[in-house]
Amino acid sequence: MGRHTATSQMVNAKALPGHFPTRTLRLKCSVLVPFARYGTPRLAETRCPHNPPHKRGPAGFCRPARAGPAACGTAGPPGRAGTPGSAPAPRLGAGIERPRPPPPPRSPPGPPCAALTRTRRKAARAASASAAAGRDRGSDGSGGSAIARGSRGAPARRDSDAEAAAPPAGCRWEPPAPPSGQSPAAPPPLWLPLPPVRPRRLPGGQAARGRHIRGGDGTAMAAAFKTVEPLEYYRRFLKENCRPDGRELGEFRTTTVNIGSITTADGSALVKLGNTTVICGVKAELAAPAVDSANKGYIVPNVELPSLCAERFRSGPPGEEAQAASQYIADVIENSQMIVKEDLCIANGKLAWVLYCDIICLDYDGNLLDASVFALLAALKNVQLPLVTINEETGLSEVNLKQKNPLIIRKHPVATSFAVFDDTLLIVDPTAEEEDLATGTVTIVTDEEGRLCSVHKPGGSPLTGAKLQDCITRAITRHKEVKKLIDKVIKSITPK
Amino acid sequence: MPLDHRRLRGPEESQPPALWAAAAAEDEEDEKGAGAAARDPCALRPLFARAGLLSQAQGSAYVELGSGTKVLCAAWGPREAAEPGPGRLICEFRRAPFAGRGARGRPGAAAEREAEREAAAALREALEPAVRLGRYPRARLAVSALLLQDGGSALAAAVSAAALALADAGVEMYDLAVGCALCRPPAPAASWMLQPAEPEERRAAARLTLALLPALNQVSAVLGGGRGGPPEDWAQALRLGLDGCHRQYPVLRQSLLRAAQRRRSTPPS
Repeated sequence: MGRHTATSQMVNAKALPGHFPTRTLRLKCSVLVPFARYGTPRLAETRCPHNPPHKRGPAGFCRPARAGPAACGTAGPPGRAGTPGSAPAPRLGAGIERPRPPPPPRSPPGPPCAALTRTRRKAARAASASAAAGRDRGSDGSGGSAIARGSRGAPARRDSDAEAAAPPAGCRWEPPAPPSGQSPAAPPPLWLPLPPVRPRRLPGGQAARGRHIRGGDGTAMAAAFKTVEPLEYYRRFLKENCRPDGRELGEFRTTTVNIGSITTADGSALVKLGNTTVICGVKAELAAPAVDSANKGYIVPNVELPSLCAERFRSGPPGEEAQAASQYIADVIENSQMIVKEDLCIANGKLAWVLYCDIICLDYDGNLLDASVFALLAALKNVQLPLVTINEETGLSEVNLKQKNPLIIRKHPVATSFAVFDDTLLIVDPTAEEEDLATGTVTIVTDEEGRLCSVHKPGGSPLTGAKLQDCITRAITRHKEVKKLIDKVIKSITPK
Repeated sequence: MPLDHRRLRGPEESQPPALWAAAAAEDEEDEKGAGAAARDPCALRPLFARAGLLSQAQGSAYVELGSGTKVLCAAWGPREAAEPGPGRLICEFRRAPFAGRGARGRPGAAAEREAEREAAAALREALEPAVRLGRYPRARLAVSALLLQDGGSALAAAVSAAALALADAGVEMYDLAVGCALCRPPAPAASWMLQPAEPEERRAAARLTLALLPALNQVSAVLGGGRGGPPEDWAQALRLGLDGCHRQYPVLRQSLLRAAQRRRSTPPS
């Protein structure tokens, strides 16, 4: 009886789009401790880590059919009392080093899992460790191969806590794929046809339905879920083809650009991409050209990530990310031929312009490269160089500060960054949280003729050619948007 | 100069074009200088202050003076410190390379770092009396200021911005620290001027920066020096500076109120 009721409820819940919070709530009303063990199933292989494994809950998690805190032995780690589900450990799918046990044969429902001794579970895990290591990356589901994901920010799992808990009773489990052997062609859907689940009694009453939850209980639950399982939280949204801040997968954040605000610099621009704020100041100085390239000037980009833009950046010399970004900007300038260095030469072998482009990030909320390239472009368009002539008699240079000419900018490169989720989904313009959860990033730079200037894909999950082509198409569209914005802003300041 | 391996290298030496245009520029500036003598020495420049604008920092503030000084400051509330003892305030002051009017400041140079360290120490001196460090034992409060454009009175603006940022971060404070700068031109009988612009500051014979806690009417820092004249002149300058601080205080308080209202109206995400 209860089972049938549960099924119908579940079906109703499924019919409502974006319904994850209720499912989350259902999930949360189960035990604190087993929740720690649920783990984020990898899309390729979703399997229950327990032995015998739990039945698949409505959220695609393994969850016990019926359990109470008592049945599962020790409670979660101390200090975790509070909202159910905000429990033991935020477990991200990526970065977990716990090896999963090999899929055991189907066990009939009913035998209490508490009967399984700790030693048996440990043996199972040890056996699976070697199996997990042997799994290739493509088919990676759980455990071992997840280490290679390189998803940052996943807190370390406390294996001891998980081990302390006993799996609840009444588990049933469907094996998605054999451990060794061929990997599944397509990842199985998260919402598998699920066995009926008994409804849980929620501690605070039923929360509101629907995606927008107002009121204490629902928002608290959603926030707790986000803390505990950020990747699953994101997956819920990605299934509905949108993101937590309401954007589509291919939509950029609101872009604002403001030029000419720093009067001490020769050209400046402030770009805001949502919360990410980047300011670029260009100072032009005179120097003697290098001996081996006597007819070339210099462009020296310098990306700085000061400690005020995000808590993780320390003060001091530039760190890895800043250095990589500086080098990337230099490459973009070189590859796109945005400014030809020969244009910066004043007198062959004697005098040339040096453009110091200092890009400082004021607020780091993801997608630094896009904002930096945009800020650089806008600042360079804003630069006015004074006229410099070399007096032939004295050989000295004369600078006429009154007469200023803009820089010759040949190409207008625009960068578009994408984050790859779970090897399959591409989202554009990731925020800092999305970057932390992503399995890879791609940055595409195009110029105004729709030509590709650079593709930057530093490791991360592999992409098919078709997906890369989609990225390039989106980048070309983005270029048009950005070009319109820049033209508008330059036009607004020209009648000086 | 030692090679800075972490940054892309340009030419070894470069000079700003203003050096070659020096002759013409100096004439212009002298004219401007004569004109500026008519400026009211007690006039305060327009001040723009806004708190709570950065998303990644717990508290933030942006202060802009009419002469063009732009300072952005971020503050973080108490974080656990390794060493026991009372709470500590850690300040950092950075100048953007394009902030100065002359040559570009090379970011890794020793001189730059030295100047930044001095400014950070001055900032700490000005802020420490205002923060209730006794409430945060074994904790670290961090403040980081970034000078985007230097149009004169940079340190004073940084003090105000840092105090605003700390208050915005929810750190318990006795009062806001308001900074005000003064300078005295090299002319023999010149009087002290409030909030000098950058050319005035450059040519000044004596400079002074004050930090005041206005509600308590306590001075937290007096920094500066130069050839100022007899001590009565210095006392007069102090009084002028304190008056300037008192006049700026309502603007800063207003900005905090507005930030709190904004935070209340937009629900936390």
